[in-house]
Amino acid sequence: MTRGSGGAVTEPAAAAGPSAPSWVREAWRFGRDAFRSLVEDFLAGTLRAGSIRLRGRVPAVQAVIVTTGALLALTFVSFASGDLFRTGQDLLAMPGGRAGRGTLLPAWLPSFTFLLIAVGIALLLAGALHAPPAVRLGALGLGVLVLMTVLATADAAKDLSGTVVGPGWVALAAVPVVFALRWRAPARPGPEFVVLLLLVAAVLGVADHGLASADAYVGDGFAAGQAGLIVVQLAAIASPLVFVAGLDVIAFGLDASSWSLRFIDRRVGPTVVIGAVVALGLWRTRDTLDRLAGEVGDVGLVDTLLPLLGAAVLVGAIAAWWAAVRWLAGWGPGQRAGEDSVEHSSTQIRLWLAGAFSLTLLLPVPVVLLSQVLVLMDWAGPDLLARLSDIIELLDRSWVATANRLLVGAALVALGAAEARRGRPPTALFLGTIGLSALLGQLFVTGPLDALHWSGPEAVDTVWLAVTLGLTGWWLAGRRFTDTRSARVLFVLVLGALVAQFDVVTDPFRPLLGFTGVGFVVFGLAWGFLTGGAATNASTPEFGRSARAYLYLGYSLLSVALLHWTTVAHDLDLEEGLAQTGADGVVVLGYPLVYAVFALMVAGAVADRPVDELVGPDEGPAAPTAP
Amino acid sequence: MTGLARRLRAARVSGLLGVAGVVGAFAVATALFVVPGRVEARPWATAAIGYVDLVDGAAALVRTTAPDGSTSWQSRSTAELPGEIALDTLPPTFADSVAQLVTGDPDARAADVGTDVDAMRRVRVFAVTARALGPDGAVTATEIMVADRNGVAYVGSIPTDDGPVVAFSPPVPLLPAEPRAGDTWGGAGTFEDVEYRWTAEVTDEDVEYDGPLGPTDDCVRTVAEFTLTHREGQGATTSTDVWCDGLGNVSEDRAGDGAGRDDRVATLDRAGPADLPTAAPVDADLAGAGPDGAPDDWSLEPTGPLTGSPAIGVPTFTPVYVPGEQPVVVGAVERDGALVALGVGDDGGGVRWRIDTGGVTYSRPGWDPERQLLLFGASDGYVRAVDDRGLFRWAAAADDAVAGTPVVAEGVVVFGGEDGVVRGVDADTGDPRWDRTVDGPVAAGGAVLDGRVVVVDTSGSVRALEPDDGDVAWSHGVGASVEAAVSTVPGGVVVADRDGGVTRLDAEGDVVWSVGATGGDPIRDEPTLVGGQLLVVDQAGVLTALDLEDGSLQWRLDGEFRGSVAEVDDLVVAADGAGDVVVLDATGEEVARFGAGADLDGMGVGRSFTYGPSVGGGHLWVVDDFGFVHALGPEGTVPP
Repeated sequence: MTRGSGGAVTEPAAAAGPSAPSWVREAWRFGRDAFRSLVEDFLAGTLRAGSIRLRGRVPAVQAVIVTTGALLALTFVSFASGDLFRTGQDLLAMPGGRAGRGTLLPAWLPSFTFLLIAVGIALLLAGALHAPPAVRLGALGLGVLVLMTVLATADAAKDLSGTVVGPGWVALAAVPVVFALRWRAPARPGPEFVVLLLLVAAVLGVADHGLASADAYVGDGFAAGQAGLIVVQLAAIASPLVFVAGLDVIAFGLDASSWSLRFIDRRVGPTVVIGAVVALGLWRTRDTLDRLAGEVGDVGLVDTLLPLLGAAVLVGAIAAWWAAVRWLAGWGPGQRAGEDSVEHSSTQIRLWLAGAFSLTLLLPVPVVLLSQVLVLMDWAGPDLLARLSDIIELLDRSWVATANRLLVGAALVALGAAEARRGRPPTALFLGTIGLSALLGQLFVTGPLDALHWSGPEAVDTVWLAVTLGLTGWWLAGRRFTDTRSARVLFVLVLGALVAQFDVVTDPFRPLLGFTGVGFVVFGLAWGFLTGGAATNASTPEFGRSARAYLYLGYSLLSVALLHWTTVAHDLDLEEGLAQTGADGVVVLGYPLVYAVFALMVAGAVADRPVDELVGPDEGPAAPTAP
Repeated sequence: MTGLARRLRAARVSGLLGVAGVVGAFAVATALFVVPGRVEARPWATAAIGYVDLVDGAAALVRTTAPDGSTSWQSRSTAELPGEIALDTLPPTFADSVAQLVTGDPDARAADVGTDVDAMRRVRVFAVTARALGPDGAVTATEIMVADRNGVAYVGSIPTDDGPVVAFSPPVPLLPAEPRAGDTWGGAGTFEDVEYRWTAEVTDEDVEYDGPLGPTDDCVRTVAEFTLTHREGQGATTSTDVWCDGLGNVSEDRAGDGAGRDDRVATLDRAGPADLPTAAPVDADLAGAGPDGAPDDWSLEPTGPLTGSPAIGVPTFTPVYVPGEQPVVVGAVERDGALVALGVGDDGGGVRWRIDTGGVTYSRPGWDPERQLLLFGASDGYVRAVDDRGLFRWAAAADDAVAGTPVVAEGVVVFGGEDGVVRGVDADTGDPRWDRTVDGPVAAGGAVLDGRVVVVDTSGSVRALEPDDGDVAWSHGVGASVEAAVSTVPGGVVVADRDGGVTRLDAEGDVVWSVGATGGDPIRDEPTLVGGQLLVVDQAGVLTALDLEDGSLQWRLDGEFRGSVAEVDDLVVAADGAGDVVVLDATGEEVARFGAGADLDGMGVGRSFTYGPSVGGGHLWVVDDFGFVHALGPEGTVPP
């Protein structure tokens, strides 16, 4: 976003009338340009860069993408509207619902959820069919296990339902056969999806019919209870996506900050920018001092300063890491193209990162499903079941989650170093910042270093604010506060304000969503889905575009279906679990992304290097710009 | 045509086929879940079912006028029995009658049907619990009706007390599946040693009715003759009935034996003026009276199961003592969802009456002492008003489940639903007065404070509403979902939230104090004021005592405590997950402990509690997780 790189063409404001004062006309033009830029540059531009592209795909795949997109949109509408499709409906009471309130589902919800799961699993299987072997086997194993669990539940209830589940088992057996037959065959994404969808829908349709029939005969919400049990077990599958939703909310703030800065860059003169920096700096300083004064009053000076010291250690570590990354990449002093594209680097790897951090939530899923199938079909003795139960208990222990977080943190630092050597410093910075945040965060909750522990973004934000304003003061005093530096400082201040006011992003949606806590997750999911599909537009011989699109859509649909269940059922316990996972995503991935961006912006300001033009995630770094 | 053009056309056709295949696969997949799923594929006899108003949870109040002008009253509530329940729980003669309808064989027995699930889909079985208020007091009976492809038939009635079971064999056909003017039908059979003969005709269709329930025009009129022959003689009744869709048998004129006239004066959706005789005044103090004497002299005794059958059921709220001529304790279990009243007076125990709902009753009933009405919500979205004799009076509808306890202020019943709307309805008739949308689903009951009603929702909003128009007097946000009912304290209210926060507000909605009481564990049960302390139980089972004046922590007990505690003479009475009722003094020291029994009928399953105790009638009441109500009070005074 080089100053003066794009000037907006403005027309005299007809609406203001010929006699309107000049400042009114100017304000009108400014507002109109801002709105146009918001729509064209920020919304349309971001969506264009991040959405799944239909062009160049075969018509059948286009139809799959469009139809799945429509299903997702319908689910999002139901999801976000809270009770639009629940109000006035017959409600099923799940057995053993919450004390004093019950757990109530609209009667249509179990069947609708099974339909979404069927389409989601069919997409995952069809996508995995021509993906790398590990993905093929993983998706096939998980898909078959989920289908077996549901069908085994219906099978166990067949005496109560009077239904025949045999066709379901036949359809289920055909799924691995399709995999075997198509393992080495060239990809036929349209027909393969059609076949798999029909097979999976047959399995789940038979099970759904059986469970509903048993419910009608027994009359105590049996089917709803069983369906709910399965959904709860599968809900962990959604955890990486929810985790990423936290990051996506932050990414939205980042995109919004980038856009506003670019707009200001085009439409506002240097004096105004400096004025904005001073005003924003003063406001944020006053805000921060007020908060610190309150903390001092609550917990004392020492307990206020020590977490700030801990945060300063993290900021120092990130700065040192950036220097190390540049050294590993062989970059010398001065500017290098593309280093400001750290956010786009994050979109390529965020789901994998979320999966790594959610490993202790994901691993129990197949074990739980396997246990249930073995019990329902009476295929295992007590010893095997006890062993599986031990595994589940082990994965549920808190030290396992801590160990996983430390291991992933260390691995990310190592991976970051490797990325730096491969000449990808922005990705290396992002990985390293996440790793360092996780490692230091964990270090500061143990033993004598406990006093240095900070929670929330405030402490680190305060340190960044101090660094930024300190440098700004120094540059101002030395008359070296150039346009480039002012743009970068303004960006840091705007983004810091947005992050500090995290709820501002999601609060406008609260009345619409009708529930608390999970609102930002819904927002993050929607934004993430609309802007995170760029990876599916790329292709390699081993992993084609259709396979990528199917996997992305399938996982999104499966996850959203499970989340949709919890919100329509008004299940606050699960909703709060989701909100917590989303909040963890903000802390583990979102804030480090902001810190990485801060590090780059401040480093760029020190070097007095203009900000890179914003680039699309699949377009690679922008061409170098003149200093 | 060139080769290129041919290839292009072939590609286009292939593309279209691909799209069609994908769209078709989606359509088939959707149909697999929509068509055979939860859509009830039994579209038969819908007209007859509508005219008889056989809907799960339907309710009615019927006035009977005798030829001499005297009146009696009958309250009716309907439950649809699933196939398994119908075969397993009905008396054998009734189950046999159902089997005869299912198989079409007049000699069939229930055992012949066994667990033939498909066969049981050919009928729908309804149980109508009728409670009559006549000159000799109230009696309760359950009438069984069955709907099949031929229409609706009356199987018989089962009295709650020792009266005779009347089971018609074969069942008496009430209405044909699609009644049309000129339709005639009849039948003959026996019950006990009585022979019956029945002939009927639809004399008019599209009848316009304008009675106590207000005007409606989708009705049919029937004339029926019912003859009973017994060795001691013969009797005959001719009745002219009007049946209206969704309202039921709105009027019945009887001539001959049992002459008189029945008029429906209230149903779920309509309520006319009901001049019922006033119930005997109750001792209001008794409603909240706990046991006398020292806890050392108390004992905990089982009173009876809420299921009314050997089957166990998970309870849905703390039992509530209802004073009255025949005092009862009401409760509900998840399995059948009805509000069930257990007799706890001198006239004996057991199920005295029940009101079925179309869902599950999660709402602990509220008590309107002025009108002697019990008010409770259910997951079918209705709040029902029942008097202390068990007579249905009126119902008011919400668009979602009502889980909180309705409260009464200034003649208005106020309740909130999971649809996020708080409604005010007339306390005498249930007529809507106003509604107000709040910030989220309402899952807990409100409280009356200085003539206003304080309501909470799961978005964490607390509002004081004027009862006459629903205007907001003040509001406050506690910052976390609220699922615990509002507690009243002197000059204000206390609200507990899911983040473990407890906030005391004064009468103007200003915060007196707000504390984190639990370290984050949710609180889902309302705090109880005992002496100068607020007692809070969180979801981790920890019991915390806070000072009422400043919210400071007084003491805390780890344990498995469940539900709200009760207060008796400044003692704290709590129930726990291990099946014990514990009495504590004001410092948290244990004074006494009572076990509900470690075993359930020799099944080797320990009893436990999910809900805390309540006080009333000189006892403490608590329901275990199998649906058995227990009474705690001075030894020798515990009701049966």
